Amino acid sequence: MSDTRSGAARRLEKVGELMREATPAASLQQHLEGRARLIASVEKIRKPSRARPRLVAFAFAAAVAASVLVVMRMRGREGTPIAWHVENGAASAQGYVSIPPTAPSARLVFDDGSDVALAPGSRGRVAATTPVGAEVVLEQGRARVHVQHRDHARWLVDAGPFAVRVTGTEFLVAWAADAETLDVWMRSGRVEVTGPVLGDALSLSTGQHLRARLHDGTVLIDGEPEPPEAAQVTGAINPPPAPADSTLVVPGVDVTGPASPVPTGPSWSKLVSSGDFARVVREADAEGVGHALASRPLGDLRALGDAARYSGNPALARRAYSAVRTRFAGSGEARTAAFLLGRVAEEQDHSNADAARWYDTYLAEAPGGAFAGDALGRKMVLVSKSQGRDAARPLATRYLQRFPGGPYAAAARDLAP
Amino acid sequence: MSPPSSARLLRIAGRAPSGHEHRAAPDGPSDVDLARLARDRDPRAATLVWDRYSGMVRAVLFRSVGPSHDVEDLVQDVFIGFFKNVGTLRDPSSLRPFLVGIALRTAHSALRKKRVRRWLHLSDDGTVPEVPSHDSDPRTREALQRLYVILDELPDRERLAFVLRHAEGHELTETASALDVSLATVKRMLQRAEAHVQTRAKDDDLLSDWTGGDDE
Repeated sequence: MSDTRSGAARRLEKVGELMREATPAASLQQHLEGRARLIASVEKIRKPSRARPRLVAFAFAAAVAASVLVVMRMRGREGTPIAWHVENGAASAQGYVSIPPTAPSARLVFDDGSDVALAPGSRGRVAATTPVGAEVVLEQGRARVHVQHRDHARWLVDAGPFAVRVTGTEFLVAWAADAETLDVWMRSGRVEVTGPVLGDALSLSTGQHLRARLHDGTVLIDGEPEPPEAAQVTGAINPPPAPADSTLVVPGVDVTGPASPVPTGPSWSKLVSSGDFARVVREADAEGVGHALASRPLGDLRALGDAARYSGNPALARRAYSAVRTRFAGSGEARTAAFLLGRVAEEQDHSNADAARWYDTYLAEAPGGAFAGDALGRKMVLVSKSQGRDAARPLATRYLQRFPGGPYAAAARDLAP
Repeated sequence: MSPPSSARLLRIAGRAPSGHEHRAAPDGPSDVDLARLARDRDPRAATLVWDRYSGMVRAVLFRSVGPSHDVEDLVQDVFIGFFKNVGTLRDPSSLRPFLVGIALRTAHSALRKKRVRRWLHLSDDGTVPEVPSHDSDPRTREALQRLYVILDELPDRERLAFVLRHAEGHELTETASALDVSLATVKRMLQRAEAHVQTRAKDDDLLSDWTGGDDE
C-alpha cells in the first residue's frame, strides 16, 4: 500500500515538474517593458485623481466636470515620458548603449535638459522614462550624470545593486562589476543612495565621495576628488566645479561636510541625512560625549553612532550604539544597533569574531528584521573566510531558504549549490 | 513519502521561472523594506518589487490559468493591485504571500472569465489552443496541453490548490492560507483534485507515460 502511495506521490511530483518546466521565462524585453508599464501605472496611483466619489449638491456638478476637464488636459500635456537620444553613440532597441574602450564618451541626452555621459568602456541603458524622470542603469564603467532640477523630478540611477535617487544634481558614478565596488563623487546638489551594506538610505551632498564595496561590506564617505580619468566623461553641459570647490581629505580620517552652510539648530538625524557627519561629532564633543550619551534622546544617539561610523570613528560609534542598547533596551533601535555594532566591528575594527557575534545577536533578537538578510549574509561571508566553505555551508543553505533573491544569494549558491 | 519540504522548495527555487531573477538578486532591501517603500509610495518601489517578484508572479499565473492565456496583462494587474492595496498589508514581512494571494485572486478571476467566454462560444469550443511554451519538445507541449484539459475540469479553487501545492511547492498550511480556507478544507480540496488528476492522467497514454506510468 505504501508503494501505491509513493507511486501516486511520484506521479504528482512529475505533474508538478511538467508544469514548472513548461513555464516560460520572460524575455529581457518582456521584463523591461513590464517594468516600464508598472512604473507608469504606479506613477498614476501615486497621483490619484482628487475627484470625490459623491457630490452633495448638483449645482457643483458642472464646475467639477469643468475642473476635471482642465486637469485631464494638463495631465495630457504632462503625461509624455521624457524623450532621449544618444550623441556619439547608438542605442539598441531596448535602450542599451555600449561604449568601446577606444571610443570617445557618449552622451544620453534627455529633452528635459538632463544628460548622462558614459565613459569609454562603459555599458548602460535607459530602463524607463516617465514624464518626470528616467531610470538609467549603469551596468559597468563610469558615468557623469547631470539631472536638470525641476519640481517633482524623479530620477534613478542603478549601479549594480545600488540605486542613486536624484532630483537635481550633477555627480560622477562608477560601478566596477568585477570588484563589486560603487563610487559616487558629488559635484553639486544632493543624492540618496540605497543598497546592500548601506543600511539606511545614505544622503550625499556637494564635494562628498562614497565608496561601497560589496565583497567586504566596506562603506566609506570622504572628500576624495574625482579620478583624473573623469575628464573623459565630462562632455558636460555644465562645467565641473573648480578644484577649489573640492576639498581633499584623507580617506577614513575626516569627513568634510557640504560646502553650503547648514542652518543652525537642525537635529542630529537631519545633519546625518544631509551628510554633515563632522558637525554631529563636533557638537557631541562640544557638549561632552559622556553627557550626550547619557542624556540625548534615542534618535540623536543613533544619529551620533551613524555619524561616527561614516566618519571613520569606530570607538565613538561603538559607544553611541552601545548607549542605544543599554538606555533603550528592547526597542527596535536597540536591535538595529546590534547589527550596526557588527558593521563597525567588521568594517572598521576588522574583528570578524566580534562582528559575527553581533550579527548573531541581531538575528536572535530580530529574526525577521530589516537587516536579517544582511546579518545572515555577512555572517556567512565571515565564516567562509575564517573557517572555510564547509563551515559556511549551513549558513548558505539557511540564507537561500530565507532570501533566495537576496544580495548574498550568488555567494550562498556558490557555497551550497 | 514526499521528499522533505525544504529540499522541495529549494529545488523549485533553483528553477526560477524568470531569467531575470538573478538580476533582481542583488537588490538590497528586505521584504520588510520593500513593503515600507511601497506603502510610502517611494518611487523606487515599483522597480524593486518588480525585479524581485515579477518572475514568481508570472509563474504562479501561468501555472494557474494555463498556457492558453497571455499572462502579461495579468501580471500587471497583480502588481497594480499590490500597489493599490499595500496599505492593507499588516505584516510587511508577508510581502511574498500577499503578492501570491493577489496573484491567485487574479488567476481566479481570469479562470471565471475564461469559462464565461467558453460558455459564450468566444473561444474554440473550449479546447486549449496551441501551447506557447518555451520548451521546443513537442511531446512535452502535448503533455502540458492534455494536463490543462484535465485541470480545466476541476473547480477553480481546487485547481488553484493543486497548482500551489504541486507546481509552486507550497506547504499545506501556506496553501490554505493563500486560498483563505482552513487546513482541513484545503486537504479535502487537494484530495479531490489529486484523485481527479491521477485518474484522468492514468487514462491518458501520453500523460501516463510522462508521469512514470502505472508503477504500483
